Amino acid sequence: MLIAFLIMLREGIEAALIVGIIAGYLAQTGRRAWMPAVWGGVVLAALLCLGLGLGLQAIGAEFPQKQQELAEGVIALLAAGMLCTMVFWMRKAARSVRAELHGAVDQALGRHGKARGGFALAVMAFLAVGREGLESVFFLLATVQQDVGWGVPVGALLGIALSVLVGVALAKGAVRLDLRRFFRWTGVFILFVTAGLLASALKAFHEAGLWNHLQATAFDLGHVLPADTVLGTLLTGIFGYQEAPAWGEVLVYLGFLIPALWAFLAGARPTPAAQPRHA
Amino acid sequence: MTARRPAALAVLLLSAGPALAEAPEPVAVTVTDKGCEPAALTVPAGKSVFRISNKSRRVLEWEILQGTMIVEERENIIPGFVQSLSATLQPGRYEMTCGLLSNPKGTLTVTAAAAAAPGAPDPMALVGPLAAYKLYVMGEVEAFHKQTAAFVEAVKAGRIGEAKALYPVARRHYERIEPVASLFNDLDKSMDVRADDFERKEADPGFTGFHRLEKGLWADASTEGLGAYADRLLADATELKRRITDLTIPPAKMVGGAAGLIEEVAATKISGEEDRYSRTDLWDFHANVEGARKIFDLLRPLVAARDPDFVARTEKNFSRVDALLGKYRTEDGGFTPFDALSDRDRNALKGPITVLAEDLSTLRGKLGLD
Repeated sequence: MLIAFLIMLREGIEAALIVGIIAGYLAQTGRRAWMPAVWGGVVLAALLCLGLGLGLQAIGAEFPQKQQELAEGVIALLAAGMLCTMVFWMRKAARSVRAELHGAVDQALGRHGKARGGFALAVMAFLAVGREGLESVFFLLATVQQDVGWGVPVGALLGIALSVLVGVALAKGAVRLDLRRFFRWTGVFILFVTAGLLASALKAFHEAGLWNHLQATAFDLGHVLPADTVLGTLLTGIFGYQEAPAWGEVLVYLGFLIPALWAFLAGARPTPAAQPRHA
Repeated sequence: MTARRPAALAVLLLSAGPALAEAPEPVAVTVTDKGCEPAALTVPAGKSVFRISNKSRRVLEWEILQGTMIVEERENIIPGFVQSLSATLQPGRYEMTCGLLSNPKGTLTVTAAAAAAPGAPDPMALVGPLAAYKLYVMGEVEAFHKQTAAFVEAVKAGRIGEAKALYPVARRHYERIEPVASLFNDLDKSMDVRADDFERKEADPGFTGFHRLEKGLWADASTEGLGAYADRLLADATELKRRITDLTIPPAKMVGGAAGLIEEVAATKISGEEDRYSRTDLWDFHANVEGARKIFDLLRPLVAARDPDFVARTEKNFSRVDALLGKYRTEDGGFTPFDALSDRDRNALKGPITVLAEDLSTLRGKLGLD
């Protein structure tokens, strides 16, 4: 039961995290009106996954894991790109916020075109849920089908429920922070998440059979901090922790995180520095 | 996920036989905390269904691998669960993950589907070739024992240069009879095991035999501490010589062994994993080809009558492989170190060897031994 709970918690957090960040961001920037669109994306993705899972199940077809991995990889890249853009936009906005507060935010948002920006976020929420959804649906179907008692499916459902709470808490927690702190802290946090997403994208591309380099194991913490413990699960869901990552994944993780953190933190200081434009 | 079929462990046995119809019976694999049971699987080419039971304490990701490439996988199998995975596989050697990363990987051999045998030849016809092959094996074991004794002596005397020169020479005889090595599994393991098969790799006390000595001579450039391994190797070789006289070689083993050996060369040895310290891999390949060729030559009269095209084609393939290997011969009768070959050279070797393996794998079917 515990393991089913942990697996669903991990899959759930991976989705809830992105939705939660988006929700927090919308709330903070006064665009709460877009939330129904985000919820719509979430519900639609969940229904689609459930329908697809039940459909494939009914016709006895197998779960095409390779395509699933490919899709996961592409979505992870999209999500990473979006989060990264958001973080650096925040850094820029944080500077003007000091003087002009919310007005500046609205203005900055206005420049990008409100409707399109909001729609993109709704699509992002849809993709984030869809990314983990199919895998979860098949896992759930398997738990219901095998005669291993009621504990397993219940554990799995509890896992999803808790991951939703994590997403909500993240969004709410973000709302309670003042804008400057929100930008600063969530920015750093999001960079860690983004690095995890990039590493997981590489892993997904490997599992889809597209990338086969740098696959030697960098280190094996399988005995120290297994990914199927509570802590391991949380770290995996949130930061993309792997108990035995390949070198390629480590390089992508650090190769993104270190320069990104440096750029973010250095840029947040009041000294005006050369600032790259992020699109 | 589809309708439940009764677990069919029996299908795992090497020869699934002609009973194997279109719908593949599921092949059961149990993963424990230590590894896969069984650790080696053989399935015919085409669609296979694997039923993976997770009897370990960890969440499982079961993968079929070719090198680092993931061919098929099933994720999130929780302890106590059984999940099935269907895969359409090409002939060749694959690996499968068996739980924790530190567990030894299992092997999955996919054999080319045997062509239907129209009227298998009289089993009595095999008696002659079988007897001749037994003599060949005995002769090779004799030579192997002698060369190994010389090699062991050089190691123990600390004559590194001489030992290095004798290493591939002694192994050559062993590699020729590798098709039947499974008949003396225990000795094969202790003489020819590789470090990868152990949890602690090269540091493992179970890592003995030729490759342990090879590591000492080439990687450590010292014979210090090798004495015990050398003694054990010679004792094993002596024991092999003692056993070989009474050893019965089943016909299917002899005939199937030729293909198995070449398949192994094409699928795994070509990566240069076997003689990784000495880089004498080409010696082994050559001896493997010779060993397979011997079997083919002995069976040729039986097959020629039924399928002359096959014989002609296989002859040609053997010559091609011989010619390719011949390119790397050195003047003293040895071979160029394997690391001198570029990836292109290796690929050029791999093609014809794979073709040869595929053809040879139909031999059993042609002789009605499936």
